[in-house]
Amino acid sequence: MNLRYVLSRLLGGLLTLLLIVTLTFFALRLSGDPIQVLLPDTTPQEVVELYRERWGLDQPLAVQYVKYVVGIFHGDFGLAFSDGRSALQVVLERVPATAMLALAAIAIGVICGIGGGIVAALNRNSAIDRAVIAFAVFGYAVPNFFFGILLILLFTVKLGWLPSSGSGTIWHLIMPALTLGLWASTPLARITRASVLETLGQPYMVTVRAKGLPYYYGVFRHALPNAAIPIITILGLNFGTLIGGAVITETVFAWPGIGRLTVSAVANRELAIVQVIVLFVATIMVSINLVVDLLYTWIDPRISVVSGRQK
Amino acid sequence: MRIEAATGIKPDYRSRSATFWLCTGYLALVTSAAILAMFIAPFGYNDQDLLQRLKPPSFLGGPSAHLLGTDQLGRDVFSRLLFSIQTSLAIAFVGTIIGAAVGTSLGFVAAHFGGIMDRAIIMLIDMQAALPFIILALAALAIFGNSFIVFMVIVGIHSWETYARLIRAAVLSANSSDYVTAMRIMGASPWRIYIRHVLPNVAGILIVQITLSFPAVILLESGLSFVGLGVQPPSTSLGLMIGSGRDLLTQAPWLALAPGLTIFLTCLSVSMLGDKLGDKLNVTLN
Repeated sequence: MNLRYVLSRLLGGLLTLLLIVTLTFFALRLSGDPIQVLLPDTTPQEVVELYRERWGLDQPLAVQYVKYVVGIFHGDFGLAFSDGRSALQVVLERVPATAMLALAAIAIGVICGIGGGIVAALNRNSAIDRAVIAFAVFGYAVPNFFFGILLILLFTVKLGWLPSSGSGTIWHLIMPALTLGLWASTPLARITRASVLETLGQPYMVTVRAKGLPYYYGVFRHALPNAAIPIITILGLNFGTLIGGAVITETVFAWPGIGRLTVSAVANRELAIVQVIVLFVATIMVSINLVVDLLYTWIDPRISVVSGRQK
Repeated sequence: MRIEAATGIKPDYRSRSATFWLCTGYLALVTSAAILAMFIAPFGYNDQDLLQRLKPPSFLGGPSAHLLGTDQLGRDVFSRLLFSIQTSLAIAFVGTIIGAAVGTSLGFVAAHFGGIMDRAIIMLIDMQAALPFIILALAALAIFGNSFIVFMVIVGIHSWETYARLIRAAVLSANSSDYVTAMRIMGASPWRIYIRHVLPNVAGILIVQITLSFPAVILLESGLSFVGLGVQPPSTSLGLMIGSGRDLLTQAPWLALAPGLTIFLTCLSVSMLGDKLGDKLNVTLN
Protein backbone atom coordinates (compact mmCIF):
# COMPACT_ATOMS: atom_id res chain seq x y z
CA MET A 1 0.00 0.00 0.00
CA ASN A 2 1.19 3.42 -0.94
CA LEU A 3 2.34 5.33 2.17
CA ARG A 4 1.95 8.72 0.54
CA TYR A 5 -1.62 7.92 -0.35
CA VAL A 6 -2.40 6.89 3.23
CA LEU A 7 -0.79 10.03 4.64
CA SER A 8 -2.61 12.36 2.26
CA ARG A 9 -5.92 10.71 3.18
CA LEU A 10 -5.12 11.02 6.88
CA LEU A 11 -4.27 14.69 6.49
CA GLY A 12 -7.47 15.32 4.54
CA GLY A 13 -9.49 13.71 7.33
CA LEU A 14 -7.79 15.81 10.00
CA LEU A 15 -8.41 18.96 7.97
CA THR A 16 -12.11 18.15 7.73
CA LEU A 17 -12.26 17.70 11.50
CA LEU A 18 -10.44 20.98 12.12
CA LEU A 19 -12.88 22.71 9.79
CA ILE A 20 -15.81 21.29 11.73
CA VAL A 21 -14.25 22.38 15.04
CA THR A 22 -13.75 25.87 13.62
CA LEU A 23 -17.28 26.15 12.32
CA THR A 24 -18.67 24.91 15.64
CA PHE A 25 -16.64 27.52 17.50
CA PHE A 26 -17.84 30.41 15.37
CA ALA A 27 -21.43 29.18 15.29
CA LEU A 28 -21.38 28.98 19.08
CA ARG A 29 -20.00 32.51 19.40
CA LEU A 30 -22.46 33.79 16.81
CA SER A 31 -25.39 32.36 18.70
CA GLY A 32 -24.92 34.89 21.47
CA ASP A 33 -23.12 35.49 24.72
CA PRO A 34 -22.80 32.19 26.59
CA ILE A 35 -22.83 34.16 29.85
CA GLN A 36 -26.30 35.45 29.14
CA VAL A 37 -27.52 31.95 28.47
CA LEU A 38 -25.96 30.61 31.65
CA LEU A 39 -26.49 33.30 34.28
CA PRO A 40 -29.82 34.78 35.23
CA ASP A 41 -30.60 38.33 34.06
CA THR A 42 -30.37 39.71 37.59
CA THR A 43 -26.72 38.69 38.06
CA PRO A 44 -24.62 41.66 39.27
CA GLN A 45 -22.21 43.11 36.72
CA GLU A 46 -19.10 42.17 38.78
CA VAL A 47 -20.09 38.51 38.76
CA VAL A 48 -20.65 38.62 35.00
CA GLU A 49 -17.20 40.17 34.56
CA LEU A 50 -15.68 37.51 36.81
CA TYR A 51 -17.18 34.72 34.72
CA ARG A 52 -16.07 36.43 31.54
CA GLU A 53 -12.55 36.59 32.83
CA ARG A 54 -12.54 33.03 34.12
CA TRP A 55 -13.73 31.62 30.79
CA GLY A 56 -11.50 33.91 28.79
CA LEU A 57 -14.43 35.57 27.08
CA ASP A 58 -12.80 38.99 27.57
CA GLN A 59 -9.93 38.00 25.29
CA PRO A 60 -9.77 38.56 21.52
CA LEU A 61 -11.63 36.06 19.38
CA ALA A 62 -8.42 34.64 17.88
CA VAL A 63 -7.02 33.88 21.36
CA GLN A 64 -10.31 32.29 22.37
CA TYR A 65 -10.23 30.17 19.24
CA VAL A 66 -6.72 28.88 19.86
CA LYS A 67 -7.58 28.11 23.48
CA TYR A 68 -10.71 26.33 22.35
CA VAL A 69 -8.84 24.11 19.88
CA VAL A 70 -6.06 23.37 22.38
CA GLY A 71 -8.70 22.55 24.99
CA ILE A 72 -10.35 20.08 22.66
CA PHE A 73 -7.04 18.31 22.11
CA HIS A 74 -6.84 17.95 25.89
CA GLY A 75 -10.32 16.51 26.04
CA ASP A 76 -11.81 19.68 27.53
CA PHE A 77 -15.20 20.21 25.93
CA GLY A 78 -16.84 22.19 28.67
CA LEU A 79 -19.42 21.21 31.25
CA ALA A 80 -23.02 20.13 30.99
CA PHE A 81 -25.31 22.91 32.26
CA SER A 82 -27.73 20.66 34.08
CA ASP A 83 -25.42 18.82 36.47
CA GLY A 84 -22.01 20.41 35.87
CA ARG A 85 -20.38 17.13 34.85
CA SER A 86 -17.90 17.02 31.98
CA ALA A 87 -19.79 16.95 28.70
CA LEU A 88 -17.39 14.36 27.34
CA GLN A 89 -18.20 12.10 30.26
CA VAL A 90 -21.95 12.47 29.70
CA VAL A 91 -21.57 11.47 26.05
CA LEU A 92 -19.13 8.60 26.66
CA GLU A 93 -21.57 7.02 29.11
CA ARG A 94 -24.04 6.63 26.27
CA VAL A 95 -21.61 5.10 23.80
CA PRO A 96 -22.01 1.41 24.78
CA ALA A 97 -25.77 1.41 24.24
CA THR A 98 -25.48 3.02 20.82
CA ALA A 99 -22.52 0.83 19.85
CA MET A 100 -24.55 -2.26 20.71
CA LEU A 101 -27.52 -1.06 18.70
CA ALA A 102 -25.33 -0.02 15.76
CA LEU A 103 -23.46 -3.33 15.65
CA ALA A 104 -26.69 -5.33 15.72
CA ALA A 105 -28.16 -3.06 13.04
CA ILE A 106 -25.09 -3.36 10.83
CA ALA A 107 -25.18 -7.14 11.15
CA ILE A 108 -28.85 -7.16 10.10
CA GLY A 109 -28.18 -4.63 7.37
CA VAL A 110 -25.28 -6.58 5.90
CA ILE A 111 -27.03 -9.94 6.05
CA CYS A 112 -30.30 -8.67 4.56
CA GLY A 113 -28.85 -6.03 2.26
CA ILE A 114 -25.76 -7.65 0.77
CA GLY A 115 -27.15 -11.17 1.11
CA GLY A 116 -30.48 -10.18 -0.41
CA GLY A 117 -28.79 -8.26 -3.21
CA ILE A 118 -26.53 -11.19 -4.15
CA VAL A 119 -29.36 -13.72 -4.04
CA ALA A 120 -31.54 -11.40 -6.14
CA ALA A 121 -28.82 -10.88 -8.74
CA LEU A 122 -28.06 -14.61 -9.02
CA ASN A 123 -31.75 -15.33 -9.50
CA ARG A 124 -32.58 -12.50 -11.81
CA ASN A 125 -36.28 -12.00 -12.61
CA SER A 126 -37.31 -14.72 -10.19
CA ALA A 127 -39.84 -14.26 -7.41
CA ILE A 128 -36.99 -13.69 -4.93
CA ASP A 129 -35.57 -10.98 -7.17
CA ARG A 130 -38.93 -9.24 -7.37
CA ALA A 131 -39.35 -9.46 -3.60
CA VAL A 132 -35.92 -7.88 -3.01
CA ILE A 133 -36.67 -5.08 -5.51
CA ALA A 134 -40.01 -4.37 -3.88
CA PHE A 135 -38.33 -4.38 -0.47
CA ALA A 136 -35.71 -1.89 -1.68
CA VAL A 137 -38.24 0.44 -3.32
CA PHE A 138 -40.65 0.39 -0.38
CA GLY A 139 -37.89 0.63 2.20
CA TYR A 140 -36.72 3.91 0.72
CA ALA A 141 -40.12 5.49 1.29
CA VAL A 142 -40.94 4.28 4.82
CA PRO A 143 -39.84 6.70 7.53
CA ASN A 144 -37.85 4.58 9.99
CA PHE A 145 -39.83 5.91 12.95
CA PHE A 146 -43.02 4.78 11.26
CA PHE A 147 -41.52 1.36 10.61
CA GLY A 148 -40.59 1.18 14.29
CA ILE A 149 -44.16 2.03 15.22
CA LEU A 150 -45.48 -0.71 12.93
CA LEU A 151 -43.14 -3.17 14.67
CA ILE A 152 -44.43 -2.05 18.07
CA LEU A 153 -48.01 -2.45 16.87
CA LEU A 154 -47.29 -6.00 15.70
CA PHE A 155 -44.93 -7.38 18.34
CA THR A 156 -46.05 -5.48 21.42
CA VAL A 157 -49.67 -4.50 20.95
CA LYS A 158 -50.90 -7.42 18.86
CA LEU A 159 -48.69 -10.35 19.82
CA GLY A 160 -47.32 -9.14 23.15
CA TRP A 161 -43.94 -10.76 22.50
CA LEU A 162 -41.53 -7.86 22.86
CA PRO A 163 -41.24 -4.83 25.18
CA SER A 164 -42.03 -1.59 23.33
CA SER A 165 -39.30 0.51 24.92
CA GLY A 166 -36.39 0.61 27.30
CA SER A 167 -33.24 -1.49 27.47
CA GLY A 168 -31.55 -4.12 29.56
CA THR A 169 -32.32 -7.46 27.94
CA ILE A 170 -31.72 -8.91 24.50
CA TRP A 171 -35.50 -8.65 23.91
CA HIS A 172 -35.31 -4.89 24.15
CA LEU A 173 -32.65 -4.82 21.44
CA ILE A 174 -34.59 -6.75 18.80
CA MET A 175 -37.03 -4.12 17.55
CA PRO A 176 -34.68 -1.10 17.50
CA ALA A 177 -32.01 -3.19 15.76
CA LEU A 178 -34.53 -4.47 13.21
CA THR A 179 -35.82 -0.96 12.55
CA LEU A 180 -32.38 0.48 12.03
CA GLY A 181 -30.90 -2.56 10.29
CA LEU A 182 -33.66 -3.15 7.74
CA TRP A 183 -33.82 0.57 7.03
CA ALA A 184 -30.08 0.63 6.37
CA SER A 185 -30.22 -2.55 4.30
CA THR A 186 -32.47 -1.21 1.51
CA PRO A 187 -29.80 0.90 -0.24
CA LEU A 188 -27.32 -1.94 0.24
CA ALA A 189 -29.69 -4.39 -1.43
CA ARG A 190 -30.19 -2.07 -4.40
CA ILE A 191 -26.52 -1.39 -4.96
CA THR A 192 -25.40 -4.98 -4.35
CA ARG A 193 -27.91 -6.33 -6.84
CA ALA A 194 -26.95 -3.78 -9.49
CA SER A 195 -23.25 -4.25 -8.90
CA VAL A 196 -23.31 -8.06 -8.95
CA LEU A 197 -25.50 -8.06 -12.06
CA GLU A 198 -22.96 -5.87 -13.76
CA THR A 199 -20.00 -8.12 -12.98
CA LEU A 200 -21.97 -11.24 -13.96
CA GLY A 201 -22.26 -9.80 -17.46
CA GLN A 202 -18.52 -9.18 -17.83
CA PRO A 203 -16.49 -11.08 -20.44
CA TYR A 204 -14.24 -12.61 -17.78
CA MET A 205 -17.26 -14.44 -16.40
CA VAL A 206 -17.73 -16.06 -19.81
CA THR A 207 -14.04 -17.00 -19.73
CA VAL A 208 -14.47 -18.59 -16.33
CA ARG A 209 -17.35 -20.67 -17.66
CA ALA A 210 -15.48 -21.49 -20.86
CA LYS A 211 -12.56 -22.80 -18.83
CA GLY A 212 -15.02 -25.29 -17.43
CA LEU A 213 -14.93 -23.96 -13.87
CA PRO A 214 -18.07 -24.43 -11.80
CA TYR A 215 -20.57 -21.52 -11.84
CA TYR A 216 -20.36 -20.76 -8.15
CA TYR A 217 -16.57 -20.80 -8.22
CA GLY A 218 -16.78 -18.00 -10.77
CA VAL A 219 -19.31 -16.14 -8.68
CA PHE A 220 -17.35 -16.24 -5.44
CA ARG A 221 -13.84 -16.00 -6.87
CA HIS A 222 -14.45 -13.41 -9.58
CA ALA A 223 -17.87 -11.75 -9.63
CA LEU A 224 -18.23 -10.84 -5.96
CA PRO A 225 -14.74 -9.35 -5.41
CA ASN A 226 -15.20 -7.19 -8.48
CA ALA A 227 -18.62 -6.07 -7.30
CA ALA A 228 -17.25 -5.09 -3.90
CA ILE A 229 -16.16 -1.48 -4.50
CA PRO A 230 -19.58 0.18 -4.86
CA ILE A 231 -20.93 -2.03 -2.08
CA ILE A 232 -18.21 -0.90 0.31
CA THR A 233 -18.81 2.72 -0.68
CA ILE A 234 -22.45 2.42 0.26
CA LEU A 235 -21.58 0.51 3.41
CA GLY A 236 -19.33 3.39 4.47
CA LEU A 237 -21.94 6.01 3.62
CA ASN A 238 -24.45 3.87 5.46
CA PHE A 239 -22.67 4.49 8.73
CA GLY A 240 -23.68 8.11 8.50
CA THR A 241 -27.24 7.19 7.68
CA LEU A 242 -27.17 4.72 10.53
CA ILE A 243 -26.04 7.34 13.05
CA GLY A 244 -28.67 9.75 11.75
CA GLY A 245 -31.25 6.99 11.90
CA ALA A 246 -30.21 6.12 15.45
CA VAL A 247 -31.28 9.59 16.62
CA ILE A 248 -34.85 8.83 15.60
CA THR A 249 -34.91 5.09 16.27
CA GLU A 250 -33.58 5.51 19.81
CA THR A 251 -36.33 8.04 20.47
CA VAL A 252 -39.03 5.67 19.21
CA PHE A 253 -37.88 2.87 21.49
CA ALA A 254 -36.56 4.99 24.38
CA TRP A 255 -33.15 3.37 23.88
CA PRO A 256 -30.64 5.10 26.20
CA GLY A 257 -27.96 5.88 23.60
CA ILE A 258 -26.32 8.88 22.00
CA GLY A 259 -29.26 9.48 19.67
CA ARG A 260 -31.68 10.10 22.49
CA LEU A 261 -29.08 12.13 24.35
CA THR A 262 -28.76 14.31 21.25
CA VAL A 263 -32.48 14.96 21.12
CA SER A 264 -32.71 15.89 24.79
CA ALA A 265 -29.51 17.96 24.63
CA VAL A 266 -30.87 19.93 21.68
CA ALA A 267 -34.24 20.39 23.36
CA ASN A 268 -32.51 21.77 26.48
CA ARG A 269 -29.89 23.62 24.43
CA GLU A 270 -27.03 21.86 26.17
CA LEU A 271 -24.46 23.30 23.80
CA ALA A 272 -21.41 21.60 25.32
CA ILE A 273 -22.99 18.17 24.91
CA VAL A 274 -24.20 18.88 21.39
CA GLN A 275 -20.72 19.99 20.44
CA VAL A 276 -19.13 16.80 21.80
CA ILE A 277 -21.66 14.73 19.87
CA VAL A 278 -21.00 16.60 16.62
CA LEU A 279 -17.25 16.09 16.97
CA PHE A 280 -17.69 12.50 18.06
CA VAL A 281 -19.87 11.65 15.06
CA ALA A 282 -17.60 13.57 12.69
CA THR A 283 -14.53 11.71 14.00
CA ILE A 284 -16.24 8.37 13.49
CA MET A 285 -17.37 9.33 9.99
CA VAL A 286 -13.93 10.61 8.99
CA SER A 287 -12.28 7.44 10.31
CA ILE A 288 -14.76 5.26 8.47
CA ASN A 289 -14.20 7.16 5.24
CA LEU A 290 -10.49 6.65 5.74
CA VAL A 291 -10.93 2.92 6.33
CA VAL A 292 -13.17 2.68 3.26
CA ASP A 293 -10.56 4.50 1.16
CA LEU A 294 -7.84 2.15 2.35
CA LEU A 295 -10.08 -0.86 1.76
CA TYR A 296 -10.49 0.29 -1.85
CA THR A 297 -6.77 0.20 -2.45
CA TRP A 298 -6.54 -3.19 -0.79
CA ILE A 299 -9.32 -4.61 -2.95
CA ASP A 300 -8.28 -2.81 -6.10
CA PRO A 301 -4.62 -1.66 -6.06
CA ARG A 302 -5.19 0.33 -9.26
CA ILE A 303 -6.98 3.03 -7.25
CA SER A 304 -4.00 4.14 -5.14
CA VAL A 305 -1.72 4.18 -8.19
CA VAL A 306 -4.12 6.34 -10.18
CA SER A 307 -4.82 8.84 -7.41
CA GLY A 308 -1.11 8.88 -6.55
CA ARG A 309 -0.40 10.03 -10.08
CA GLN A 310 -2.99 12.79 -9.90
CA LYS A 311 -1.35 14.33 -6.86
CA MET B 1 -29.33 7.69 0.65
CA ARG B 2 -29.01 9.36 -2.71
CA ILE B 3 -26.43 7.54 -4.72
CA GLU B 4 -28.06 4.19 -4.32
CA ALA B 5 -31.43 5.56 -5.28
CA ALA B 6 -29.84 7.08 -8.33
CA THR B 7 -27.67 4.25 -9.51
CA GLY B 8 -29.90 1.52 -8.17
CA ILE B 9 -32.26 -0.64 -10.06
CA LYS B 10 -35.44 0.66 -11.51
CA PRO B 11 -38.56 -1.12 -10.34
CA ASP B 12 -39.40 -3.72 -12.92
CA TYR B 13 -43.17 -3.68 -13.10
CA ARG B 14 -45.22 -5.50 -15.68
CA SER B 15 -47.50 -2.59 -16.47
CA ARG B 16 -45.60 0.64 -16.12
CA SER B 17 -48.53 2.84 -17.02
CA ALA B 18 -50.66 1.54 -14.15
CA THR B 19 -47.98 2.43 -11.59
CA PHE B 20 -47.51 5.76 -13.27
CA TRP B 21 -51.19 6.66 -13.04
CA LEU B 22 -51.49 5.39 -9.49
CA CYS B 23 -48.56 7.55 -8.35
CA THR B 24 -49.69 10.60 -10.29
CA GLY B 25 -53.27 10.20 -9.09
CA TYR B 26 -52.19 9.84 -5.49
CA LEU B 27 -49.93 12.88 -5.66
CA ALA B 28 -52.69 14.94 -7.29
CA LEU B 29 -55.03 13.89 -4.50
CA VAL B 30 -52.54 14.77 -1.75
CA THR B 31 -51.62 18.08 -3.36
CA SER B 32 -55.22 19.16 -3.75
CA ALA B 33 -55.90 18.05 -0.17
CA ALA B 34 -53.03 20.29 0.93
CA ILE B 35 -54.20 23.29 -1.09
CA LEU B 36 -57.88 22.94 -0.25
CA ALA B 37 -57.40 21.82 3.37
CA MET B 38 -59.31 24.72 4.87
CA PHE B 39 -62.30 24.08 2.60
CA ILE B 40 -62.41 20.29 2.86
CA ALA B 41 -61.67 19.89 6.56
CA PRO B 42 -64.91 19.32 8.47
CA PHE B 43 -63.39 20.70 11.69
CA GLY B 44 -60.64 23.14 12.64
CA TYR B 45 -57.38 21.30 13.31
CA ASN B 46 -57.31 22.51 16.89
CA ASP B 47 -61.04 22.23 17.65
CA GLN B 48 -61.34 20.13 20.78
CA ASP B 49 -64.34 18.08 21.79
CA LEU B 50 -63.45 16.47 25.09
CA LEU B 51 -66.57 14.33 25.09
CA GLN B 52 -65.41 12.68 21.86
CA ARG B 53 -61.91 11.63 22.89
CA LEU B 54 -60.04 8.74 21.20
CA LYS B 55 -63.00 7.67 19.05
CA PRO B 56 -62.02 5.13 16.38
CA PRO B 57 -62.42 5.93 12.66
CA SER B 58 -66.00 5.77 11.39
CA PHE B 59 -65.27 2.70 9.26
CA LEU B 60 -64.15 0.91 12.41
CA GLY B 61 -67.38 1.65 14.23
CA GLY B 62 -66.61 5.19 15.38
CA PRO B 63 -68.92 8.19 15.07
CA SER B 64 -69.76 9.04 11.46
CA ALA B 65 -68.74 12.68 11.92
CA HIS B 66 -65.08 11.70 12.38
CA LEU B 67 -63.89 9.83 9.29
CA LEU B 68 -60.51 8.94 10.81
CA GLY B 69 -61.52 9.11 14.46
CA THR B 70 -60.38 11.58 17.10
CA ASP B 71 -57.27 12.06 19.23
CA GLN B 72 -56.73 12.40 22.99
CA LEU B 73 -58.22 15.91 22.99
CA GLY B 74 -61.17 14.98 20.81
CA ARG B 75 -59.71 16.69 17.75
CA ASP B 76 -60.79 15.34 14.37
CA VAL B 77 -57.91 13.25 12.93
CA PHE B 78 -59.04 13.70 9.32
CA SER B 79 -59.00 17.50 9.61
CA ARG B 80 -55.64 17.42 11.38
CA LEU B 81 -54.29 15.13 8.68
CA LEU B 82 -55.34 17.58 5.95
CA PHE B 83 -53.63 20.51 7.65
CA SER B 84 -50.59 18.37 8.44
CA ILE B 85 -50.28 17.43 4.78
CA GLN B 86 -50.46 21.14 3.98
CA THR B 87 -47.66 22.02 6.42
CA SER B 88 -45.41 19.09 5.54
CA LEU B 89 -45.78 19.44 1.78
CA ALA B 90 -45.28 23.20 1.92
CA ILE B 91 -42.10 22.82 3.98
CA ALA B 92 -40.81 20.05 1.73
CA PHE B 93 -41.63 22.04 -1.39
CA VAL B 94 -39.99 25.27 -0.26
CA GLY B 95 -37.09 23.34 1.29
CA THR B 96 -36.41 21.44 -1.93
CA ILE B 97 -36.50 24.64 -4.00
CA ILE B 98 -34.10 26.42 -1.63
CA GLY B 99 -31.73 23.45 -1.62
CA ALA B 100 -31.78 23.17 -5.41
CA ALA B 101 -31.25 26.92 -5.86
CA VAL B 102 -28.39 27.17 -3.34
CA GLY B 103 -26.68 24.00 -4.52
CA THR B 104 -27.03 24.82 -8.21
CA SER B 105 -25.67 28.33 -7.75
CA LEU B 106 -22.69 27.07 -5.75
CA GLY B 107 -22.06 24.41 -8.37
CA PHE B 108 -22.03 27.06 -11.10
CA VAL B 109 -19.79 29.34 -9.04
CA ALA B 110 -17.32 26.53 -8.32
CA ALA B 111 -17.14 25.47 -11.95
CA HIS B 112 -16.97 29.00 -13.33
CA PHE B 113 -14.37 30.58 -11.04
CA GLY B 114 -12.32 27.48 -10.32
CA GLY B 115 -9.17 27.98 -8.23
CA ILE B 116 -9.64 28.92 -4.60
CA MET B 117 -13.40 29.30 -4.92
CA ASP B 118 -13.69 25.79 -6.32
CA ARG B 119 -11.43 24.40 -3.60
CA ALA B 120 -13.42 26.11 -0.85
CA ILE B 121 -16.73 24.81 -2.15
CA ILE B 122 -15.36 21.29 -2.56
CA MET B 123 -14.07 21.47 1.00
CA LEU B 124 -17.53 22.45 2.23
CA ILE B 125 -19.03 19.60 0.24
CA ASP B 126 -16.56 17.16 1.83
CA MET B 127 -17.34 18.49 5.26
CA GLN B 128 -21.05 18.14 4.70
CA ALA B 129 -20.47 14.59 3.54
CA ALA B 130 -18.56 13.84 6.75
CA LEU B 131 -21.54 14.61 8.95
CA PRO B 132 -24.95 12.96 8.80
CA PHE B 133 -27.26 15.82 7.91
CA ILE B 134 -29.58 15.25 10.83
CA ILE B 135 -26.69 15.79 13.29
CA LEU B 136 -25.86 19.06 11.56
CA ALA B 137 -29.52 20.05 11.66
CA LEU B 138 -29.78 19.23 15.36
CA ALA B 139 -26.61 21.18 16.13
CA ALA B 140 -28.00 24.20 14.30
CA LEU B 141 -31.28 23.90 16.22
CA ALA B 142 -29.35 23.74 19.52
CA ILE B 143 -27.22 26.76 18.66
CA PHE B 144 -29.82 29.03 17.08
CA GLY B 145 -32.90 27.81 18.90
CA ASN B 146 -36.00 26.45 17.27
CA SER B 147 -37.78 29.08 15.27
CA PHE B 148 -39.69 28.53 12.07
CA ILE B 149 -37.10 30.46 10.06
CA VAL B 150 -34.18 28.40 11.42
CA PHE B 151 -36.10 25.22 10.75
CA MET B 152 -36.90 26.29 7.20
CA VAL B 153 -33.27 27.18 6.46
CA ILE B 154 -32.11 23.83 7.85
CA VAL B 155 -34.59 21.90 5.75
CA GLY B 156 -33.65 24.11 2.81
CA ILE B 157 -29.92 23.45 2.84
CA HIS B 158 -30.53 19.70 3.03
CA SER B 159 -28.84 18.03 0.05
CA TRP B 160 -27.38 21.29 -1.30
CA GLU B 161 -24.08 19.47 -1.63
CA THR B 162 -25.56 16.87 -3.99
CA TYR B 163 -26.82 19.59 -6.31
CA ALA B 164 -23.54 21.46 -6.06
CA ARG B 165 -21.52 18.34 -6.88
CA LEU B 166 -23.77 17.33 -9.80
CA ILE B 167 -24.01 20.79 -11.31
CA ARG B 168 -20.30 21.48 -10.89
CA ALA B 169 -19.45 18.29 -12.76
CA ALA B 170 -22.07 18.96 -15.44
CA VAL B 171 -20.89 22.53 -16.01
CA LEU B 172 -17.24 21.48 -16.14
CA SER B 173 -18.03 18.91 -18.80
CA ALA B 174 -20.27 21.34 -20.69
CA ASN B 175 -17.50 23.96 -20.61
CA SER B 176 -15.20 21.63 -22.48
CA SER B 177 -17.84 20.71 -25.05
CA ASP B 178 -17.93 22.02 -28.58
CA TYR B 179 -21.22 23.87 -28.38
CA VAL B 180 -20.00 26.00 -25.48
CA THR B 181 -16.75 26.71 -27.29
CA ALA B 182 -18.80 27.75 -30.32
CA MET B 183 -20.92 30.09 -28.18
CA ARG B 184 -17.81 31.58 -26.67
CA ILE B 185 -16.25 32.20 -30.07
CA MET B 186 -19.43 33.98 -31.12
CA GLY B 187 -18.85 36.29 -28.17
CA ALA B 188 -21.58 35.20 -25.75
CA SER B 189 -20.98 36.22 -22.13
CA PRO B 190 -20.39 33.38 -19.64
CA TRP B 191 -23.67 34.00 -17.82
CA ARG B 192 -25.61 33.96 -21.05
CA ILE B 193 -24.01 30.63 -21.91
CA TYR B 194 -24.85 29.25 -18.47
CA ILE B 195 -28.42 30.45 -18.25
CA ARG B 196 -29.48 29.98 -21.85
CA HIS B 197 -27.48 26.94 -22.86
CA VAL B 198 -25.86 24.97 -20.04
CA LEU B 199 -28.75 25.15 -17.57
CA PRO B 200 -31.32 23.72 -20.02
CA ASN B 201 -28.85 20.94 -20.76
CA VAL B 202 -28.44 19.99 -17.11
CA ALA B 203 -32.15 20.42 -16.35
CA GLY B 204 -32.75 16.68 -16.66
CA ILE B 205 -30.22 15.90 -13.94
CA LEU B 206 -31.66 18.65 -11.81
CA ILE B 207 -35.25 17.42 -12.12
CA VAL B 208 -34.33 13.83 -11.30
CA GLN B 209 -32.30 14.96 -8.31
CA ILE B 210 -35.26 17.04 -7.12
CA THR B 211 -37.50 13.97 -7.17
CA LEU B 212 -34.87 12.22 -5.07
CA SER B 213 -34.45 14.94 -2.49
CA PHE B 214 -38.13 15.79 -2.12
CA PRO B 215 -38.90 12.53 -0.24
CA ALA B 216 -35.68 12.96 1.74
CA VAL B 217 -36.80 16.44 2.80
CA ILE B 218 -40.22 15.11 3.82
CA LEU B 219 -38.52 12.41 5.89
CA LEU B 220 -36.18 14.96 7.49
CA GLU B 221 -39.00 17.32 8.40
CA SER B 222 -41.20 14.56 9.77
CA GLY B 223 -38.28 12.96 11.60
CA LEU B 224 -37.35 16.20 13.36
CA SER B 225 -40.99 16.96 14.12
CA PHE B 226 -41.44 13.41 15.37
CA VAL B 227 -38.77 13.83 18.04
CA GLY B 228 -40.26 17.20 18.94
CA LEU B 229 -37.57 19.41 17.43
CA GLY B 230 -39.30 20.44 14.22
CA VAL B 231 -42.74 21.96 13.72
CA GLN B 232 -44.07 22.99 17.12
CA PRO B 233 -47.65 22.76 18.43
CA PRO B 234 -50.21 24.29 18.04
CA SER B 235 -49.09 23.95 14.41
CA THR B 236 -49.29 20.44 13.12
CA SER B 237 -47.32 18.31 10.70
CA LEU B 238 -47.28 14.66 9.68
CA GLY B 239 -44.23 13.88 11.83
CA LEU B 240 -45.70 15.67 14.82
CA MET B 241 -48.93 13.65 14.48
CA ILE B 242 -47.00 10.37 14.46
CA GLY B 243 -44.96 11.57 17.43
CA SER B 244 -48.00 12.29 19.55
CA GLY B 245 -49.68 9.11 18.33
CA ARG B 246 -46.70 7.01 19.42
CA ASP B 247 -47.68 7.24 23.10
CA LEU B 248 -51.22 6.08 22.39
CA LEU B 249 -50.45 3.10 20.19
CA THR B 250 -52.34 0.63 22.35
CA GLN B 251 -55.50 2.70 22.71
CA ALA B 252 -55.59 4.53 19.38
CA PRO B 253 -53.29 3.11 16.69
CA TRP B 254 -55.05 5.18 13.98
CA LEU B 255 -53.42 8.34 15.35
CA ALA B 256 -50.00 7.22 14.13
CA LEU B 257 -51.12 5.03 11.23
CA ALA B 258 -52.98 7.70 9.24
CA PRO B 259 -50.10 10.21 8.98
CA GLY B 260 -47.51 7.41 8.66
CA LEU B 261 -49.26 5.89 5.66
CA THR B 262 -49.61 9.33 4.11
CA ILE B 263 -45.86 9.98 4.35
CA PHE B 264 -45.05 6.52 3.05
CA LEU B 265 -47.34 6.75 0.01
CA THR B 266 -46.20 10.29 -0.81
CA CYS B 267 -42.49 9.42 -0.70
CA LEU B 268 -43.12 6.20 -2.60
CA SER B 269 -45.05 7.98 -5.36
CA VAL B 270 -42.51 10.76 -5.79
CA SER B 271 -39.53 8.43 -5.92
CA MET B 272 -41.23 6.00 -8.32
CA LEU B 273 -42.19 8.85 -10.63
CA GLY B 274 -38.63 10.14 -10.33
CA ASP B 275 -37.29 6.73 -11.39
CA LYS B 276 -39.53 6.77 -14.44
CA LEU B 277 -38.56 10.32 -15.26
CA GLY B 278 -34.91 9.33 -15.00
CA ASP B 279 -35.50 6.49 -17.45
CA LYS B 280 -37.31 8.79 -19.80
CA LEU B 281 -34.75 11.59 -19.71
CA ASN B 282 -32.05 8.93 -19.73
CA VAL B 283 -30.27 10.54 -16.83
CA THR B 284 -27.66 8.73 -14.78
CA LEU B 285 -26.61 10.61 -11.70
CA ASN B 286 -23.08 10.45 -10.37
